[in-house]
Parts: sequence; C-alpha cells; structure tokens
Amino acid sequence: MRYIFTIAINDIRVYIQDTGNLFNLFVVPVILALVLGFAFGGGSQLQYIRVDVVDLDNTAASTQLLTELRQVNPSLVLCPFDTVEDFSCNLNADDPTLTVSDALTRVEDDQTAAAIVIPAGYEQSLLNIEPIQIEYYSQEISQTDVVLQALQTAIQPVNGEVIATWVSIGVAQALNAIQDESILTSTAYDIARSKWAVDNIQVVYQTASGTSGITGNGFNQSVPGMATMYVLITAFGGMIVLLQERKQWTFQRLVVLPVSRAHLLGGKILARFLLGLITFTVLIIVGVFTGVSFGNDPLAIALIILSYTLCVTALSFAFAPLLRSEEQASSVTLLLSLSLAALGGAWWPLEIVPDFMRVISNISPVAWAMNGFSEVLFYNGGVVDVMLYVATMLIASLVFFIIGIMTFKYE
Amino acid sequence: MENIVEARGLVKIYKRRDGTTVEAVKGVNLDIRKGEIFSLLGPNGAGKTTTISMISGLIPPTSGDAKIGGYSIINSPIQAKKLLGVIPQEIALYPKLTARQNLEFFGRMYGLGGSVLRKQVDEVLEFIDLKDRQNDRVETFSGGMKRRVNIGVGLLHKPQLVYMDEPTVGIDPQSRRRILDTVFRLRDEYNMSVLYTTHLMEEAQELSDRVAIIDHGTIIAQGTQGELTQQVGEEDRLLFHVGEAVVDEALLKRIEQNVEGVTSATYTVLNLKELTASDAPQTDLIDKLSTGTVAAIRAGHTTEGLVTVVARRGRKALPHIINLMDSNGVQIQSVEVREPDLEAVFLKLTGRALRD
Ligand SMILES: Nc1ncnc2c1ncn2[C@@H]1O[C@H](COP(=O)(O)OP(=O)(O)OP(=O)(O)O)[C@@H](O)[C@H]1O
Ligand SMILES: [Mg+2]
Repeated sequence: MRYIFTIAINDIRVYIQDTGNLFNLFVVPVILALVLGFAFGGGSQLQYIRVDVVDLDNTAASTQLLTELRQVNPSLVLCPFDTVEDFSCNLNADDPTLTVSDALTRVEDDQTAAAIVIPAGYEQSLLNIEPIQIEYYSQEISQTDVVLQALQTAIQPVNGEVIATWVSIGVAQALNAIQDESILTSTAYDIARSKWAVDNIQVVYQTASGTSGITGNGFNQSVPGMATMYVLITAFGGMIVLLQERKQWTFQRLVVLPVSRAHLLGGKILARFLLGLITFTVLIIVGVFTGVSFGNDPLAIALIILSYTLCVTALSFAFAPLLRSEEQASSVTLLLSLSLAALGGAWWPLEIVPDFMRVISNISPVAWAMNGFSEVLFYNGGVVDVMLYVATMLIASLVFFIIGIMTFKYE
Repeated sequence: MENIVEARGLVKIYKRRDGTTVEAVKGVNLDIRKGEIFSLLGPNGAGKTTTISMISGLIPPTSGDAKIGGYSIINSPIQAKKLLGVIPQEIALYPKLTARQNLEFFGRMYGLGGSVLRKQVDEVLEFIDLKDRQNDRVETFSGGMKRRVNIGVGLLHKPQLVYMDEPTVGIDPQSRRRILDTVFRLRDEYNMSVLYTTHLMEEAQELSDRVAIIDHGTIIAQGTQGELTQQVGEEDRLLFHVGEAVVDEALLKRIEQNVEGVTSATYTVLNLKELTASDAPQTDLIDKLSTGTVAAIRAGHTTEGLVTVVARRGRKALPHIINLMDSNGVQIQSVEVREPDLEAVFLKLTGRALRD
C-alpha cells in the first residue's frame, strides 16, 4: 500500500511541475466554466427563484397546490406569499398584492422568473372533476425551466387523486349495474386509462416578451459540465503520461523495482484518480463563488464525483493498451474527451437536445454524471435519485478496470 | 567463489507487429561471481540489452531462467530484484524533478525511508559528485551529469549486483573516464558485483575480471581475459606506421624470413579520407583507429602506409624489424605492439571485426 501512495504522490508531483498541466488544472476549466455560466444566464444572487403566483381561487385546494410546489423545489419563492431572509419579492410595500397584469409585467421586466395563475373555481372544478387550466407565463418555454418542471411535478399527485376518484365512482356505478366481476375490473381499468390520457389539470404555457433565456443559475450547468469534461481530459492525459514514461524509461525502471505489479499499476491508477478529484475540487470552489446551488444532499454529490472519476480513470486504462505513440494518444484524448463531453451534456444541458441525441448520450459517462448532478442541483434530489447513475458508473468502472488490468503492458 | 548470477538457457523471441519473429537471444548461460566485474561484450544488436532485461525481470524470457543470489527472477522476482541495482542504457529519470527528488522517489520505492533514506541519498550524491546541483531539475543537466544521476539511482539500496548497460555511450571522454573509475570503486570500495555491457573492446579489456562475448544472441566465449586470448594463440601484432612511404614485397619477404618468430608481414595503404568521411562521432572514430592513424589524420595526411607483422614474441622481434626497415630507407613514424586481445578473439570466432 505504501508503494501505491509513493508512486501516486510522485506522479502528482511530476504533473504539477509542468506549467502546462497547471494551466489545464487551474485556469482553463475555470475560465470555461465562468464563460459558459454567464452565457447560460448565471448570477450569484439566483440561489432563490422568484415566482409570482396569482391565486384567484384562494381555497384549501389552491393553497395545497402551492404547498406541493414548495416541497418539490424549495428554492422557489412564491410571491407574494413567501418571505425569505435576504431575498425580497420586490413588491410595493404598501400594497403587496399581485394582479395578473402586474405579474405579467414583472415577467417581462425580468423581475420574476415566471408567473402562475390559478383560476377562480379551481377547487370547485376539482370536486366536480372538470378540466382545469393553470396559466403559466415565462419569457421562454423550455424543458430546462425549473419552475415549470416543479409545477408539473406538483400537479401530478392532484391529477392522480382525480383519477382515483373517477375510478371509484365508475366502480360504484358498475357495482349497481352488473354482477360479473371481470367486467367490473375492466370498467375500472378503462376509466383509469381514459382519464390518465387526458390530465384533468393542464398547464397552459404563455410566453411573455423579454430577453433572458433559461431561468436559474447558469453555473449549475457550466460548473459540473466543465468539471466532468476536465476530469475526463485529466484521466485520458494519463495515457499520454504512460507512453512518455516508457519513452523516458522511468516506467522500465519501475518495473525492475522490487515491487509487485499490482502496486505499480495501483499507484498509476491512484495518481489519475486523485488528479481527477483535484480537478473537481477546483471547480467546486468556482461553484461556491458563483453561487451554484449544490442542492440538499452533499453525499449524493460526493457519490457522483467519486464514481464518475473512478469510471473515467478506468476507461482511460482500458484504452491505454491500444495506443502506441504520444501523438496518437494526444489526438485520441482530445477527440474522445471533447466528443464524450459534448455528447454527455457537459457544454449544454441535455434537456435542450433532440430526443434521439438524448438517447445516444447514454453511451457517455459524462451524461451519467450530468444527469446525476442535475437531479441534485436542479431538482434537490438525494442519494436515492442518483443511485441509478452511480450504480451505472460503478459497474462500468469495474468492467473498464478488468479490461485495463488484463491488457496492461509492463514491457 | 560463489555466483551472484546464474543464467540458464535464456531465450527471447520478440514478436514484431507484422507477425514475424526475431530470436534476439538464443539460449544464453552466464555465471557471474560475487565481487567481480563481468563484461558482456558484443556488437550493436547482439542481444546485450535483451539478455540483461531478462535477468533483471524487465521482460519475461521466452524460456530459461536466471537466478540472482539464488532467487529465481521468474519465481521469486521481488527477492531477486532487491539484490539488484539497475542502471539502464537510457537516462531513466523524471526530467522535471530535481536530482534529489529523483533519488528520493526511487529510494522510497526500494523500501528506504526517514533518516536512512536521507543518509543514503546524501551518500549517493557525494559519490556521483552532484551534491551542489542536487536541487536542480534533471532536465537542466549535461549528458554526463544525467548519466551520473542515472547511476546513482541504481546504487541507493546498496545492491549486491549492479548492472550497467553501455553507460558510456554518447558522452565526452572525461565523463567516460569518471564512469569507468566508478565501476572500479563499486567493486573495490563497496564490494559489489558489476555486470557491464559494452560494444567497446577497450572498455571490456580495461574493466573486466571476466568477460562473455555475445554475437547474434549467442555467447561465443566466456572466461577471464587470459583464458579467452589463449584461444587465439600467443602471437602479437606489430603495427608500423610508415606515412607516405612505399614498402615493397622484397622487404616484407626479408622480414618474414630473417626475423625470428615472425609468421607474416603485410603492407596496406589506408585511405584516410574514407575513414574520416564516415558520420561516426569523433570519440567512436578514435576507438576504432590505432593512435598512429589518428595522428596521421590530425596531421592532415590523406593516405597512410601500414605494415602489420604477426610474430610470436613481438617485443623481441621489434628491434630487428626496425633495423631492416631503416636500412631499406623506410621511415617509421610510430609503432604499436598489440598483444592478443578480445578483438582478436572475436575476429577468430566470428570471422568479423567487432567494429562492424
Ligand atoms: N522490442 C523489440 N521488438 C523486436 N525486436 C527487438 C526488440 N528489442 C530488441 N529487438 C531486436 O533484438 C536484437 C537484440 O537487441 P538488443 O537491444 O538486445 O541488442 P544490444 O546488444 O543491446 O544492442 P545495442 O548495443 O545497440 O544496445 C536486435 O536485433 C533488435 O533489433
Ligand atoms: Mg543495448
């Protein structure tokens, strides 16, 4: 074990002696994360998202919907109802009420991220099981709109309840009419299906004029994006280093040391893994300064970072035996890391790419990590929500390591 | 005396990328005794590096085994490698790290730590005479200094056996002298055995207690220098440099017939222009040529006459031959006496000169 650390520490020392590497570690990813973050509408005060709500119904049911909304995304501040320290709704202190037209103006003026209008008679319609339309306004409708996503998530249980009601009514009617149990079941099923197909509550999107794009903090995208890409570049750089070490014969010197091959390989792997974690650390610090909301579950983030770094390190060792020259390794590194990063949503959110691209993105470990990050950063997910991604990355690590270790060339 | 290295039936067959194979080493047996300097002498591509790479555990033999201090490099590689200090042909150092950082890292990898490590690194720095440059990056060093650090790394853990693979290639004569002296010090002061590979006959001759000559992957002779030269008889070669003078057949005949012990006398004219036209670096050229020829080149001559006499007791025949040549008006510029050497052994066993 001691030898593994000695090798890893020495490799890191060699790495940081190279100014080019330091530049790649501390300067380039930071600049890229900042530029992309601002491009995506970054801003450090955007830890909270201001949402105007005009509740024309004002009943227990409408209040319930707002409660659900707050639970789905705690960073939403529903104006004028919510009061949060250090974050104001920016309403007229004398008359803190909002009309639909007030709210619309505020959306257009970028004073609020979105406006939600709950129609009068919301509760009544719900009880009568009549269709309801909730109006939603923002400058631009997009899948990445976190407010819209939260709203849709919040109305789902309400829709579910409505369907359940329908089903029980249908069953009750059927009970009176028929005795055959199988007809009863199919009736219940038919009703549920037909009602499920048409959601009772619908959100009607409205775009308001204005300039800003995606709501939320752009750094939530760019910081993990550039981190995952640069960890990939750092890990793949290890392939070049291995070839260099063979050329300068230090690798051969390591092989003739009285140290087992497992220690030698372990040291080389650990070095890359630690460099990957250092890269993440650098970008997390950038994230802290740019006000990235890291969600509520640091453990979930740690799991994603560890399993992703392990996964791409393993990937680089699986690839290494295929490469013969440094030049070849450099171009493969560049090609692979840039394409896997772009494909996996390191540059732009996967939510904005066409469906077929989203399917293809699943071959990139970057996508597994980015999906995990967006669960935590955008939707306040926890360990359970990222488990699938973490497990995928761990299994992939295992497979890549088996390939890498079996094909590793000591000669 | 006990053997520190015993290699038996070492074979290495390399597979080339195009599918063909090269049998670089074809069944090598070597015995190296404790505390001796053992040279592996052979021309370029003879299989020297391949042989010691197998002995040191860098590459696995296709067949055969080698034992270091009784430990098989195949079955107990870690124990075997502990006894071995490695000084590769290449400068195997991290260029971005300082001399001291390089030494410390490899020292740790040899299991040293704490004050022992510090002491050993200091001692090695003293030994290779680089104490004052220890905190400079290796990439800023001259070729000779890099070589010395390269040697130092192999000595850190006080190994019983040190192998040095052509450590004098491509460096200036002064640094080379220093390295050869180092080899003696390792044997005499530190009681180490040294396995030294070279393609230079002079180095093998100066250094070795025992020599193995390798050619085309086969050991063609092994033993002390005396044992080897006996194989080629006891005849000396006398080289007379005669400059531009012309020597006729009659004089050669007279030398052969009238001087006791002489078996043959030949006259050749060396074309110096051709010799110096080769791209070989100056140090290599000096190795190849006799001192008389070098002097002629330096003097700017384009051709040089050379009379080679093979004689049983060369030194005794020398005055007679000089007299004969003198009385025939041939001016001798310099004379060299070559006793039977490894070059001659190689020539006899392979029919080729070691230089080719
Ligand atoms: N990795 C390899 N693959 C294929 N052939 C090789 C390989 N390494 C060496 N050879 C071949 O094996 C033979 C012996 O090479 P080796 O390096 O052992 O010679 P050497 O005596 O050390 O020569 P030199 O004095 O030039 O260092 C040569 O013909 C060489 O081309
Ligand atoms: Mg060699």
